[in-house]
Amino acid sequence: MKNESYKQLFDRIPEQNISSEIETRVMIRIERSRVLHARIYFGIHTISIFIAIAVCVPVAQSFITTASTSGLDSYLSLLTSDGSYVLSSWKDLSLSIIETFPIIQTTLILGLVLVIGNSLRRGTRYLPSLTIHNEIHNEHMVSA
Amino acid sequence: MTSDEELIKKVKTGDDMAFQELMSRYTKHIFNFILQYVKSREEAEDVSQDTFFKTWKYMKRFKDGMKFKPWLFTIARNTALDYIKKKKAITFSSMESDEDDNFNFADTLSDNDPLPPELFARKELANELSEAMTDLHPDHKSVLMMHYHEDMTFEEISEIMKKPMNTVKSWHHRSLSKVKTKLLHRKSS
Repeated sequence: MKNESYKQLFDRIPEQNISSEIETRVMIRIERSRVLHARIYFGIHTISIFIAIAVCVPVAQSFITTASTSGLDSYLSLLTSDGSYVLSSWKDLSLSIIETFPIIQTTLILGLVLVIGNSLRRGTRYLPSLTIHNEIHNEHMVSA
Repeated sequence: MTSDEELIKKVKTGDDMAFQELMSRYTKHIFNFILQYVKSREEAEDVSQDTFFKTWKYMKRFKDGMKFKPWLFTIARNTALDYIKKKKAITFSSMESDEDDNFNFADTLSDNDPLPPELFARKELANELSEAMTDLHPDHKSVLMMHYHEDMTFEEISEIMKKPMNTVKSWHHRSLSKVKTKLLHRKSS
């Protein structure tokens, strides 16, 4: 049980007043932390985009090389040039296209496109937070 | 008035005004609490600032059903202890006060002897009380302040201090006895 006379006693201790600036300083620290966080993540996503684009170039070259050496391009040209052949041997033609299609390179390219899209979407989310909001700074300058 | 928990929900969605409102409710309490651990106002201001920053930073860890005030005071105490450890103003072993963990059952009883009414008539009582508390261990001072000034229960205090409730009661009883003895001794002299 709390003894009321002790409560009265401790209520006599004067409360110390704190500088009113502290709340502004905390808000500035929070803002700075947000900006730092945004810059780090924006940087990570930007680097990811550049790496993905850089990897895309040799993968695309490999796709073109594989497609030409495997005969895929000739099968594809048949699709547009000889309609009667396509209709009569569509089964064989489809199998040949699937066999010669560079699946690994295509998967890689699709994956890289996904990485670029995801990084663009996430990176742009941090764009508004890259700089410190002026209101908080102005408020701090006025109070200072 | 919006409850602390409702404000926290808003803070979690990124509402800075709600966090400012929470801060303005507790800044003075936290500052006075931290003053029990550090020596100067400037240090207390720095530690208070760190406390509120950490509160914002770890807000996601605040779960539904938790009480904000004890949680905030726990952060404040930990921040103050970290600050003291860094400054080495007080050796950490003395901050731990292991000897006080060996509580005596008699220590856990509440102090039912009321203070003499003439004590309250003394003009310098506030200063005398502050002086009487200076020799107390920071955690013990905090127990008194939280219990009598912040109206916290022993359960809440034990949660903040991360100590068994009997230990907290023991600290409370011993420090109260010390303060009372000093005040009454001063009176008689």
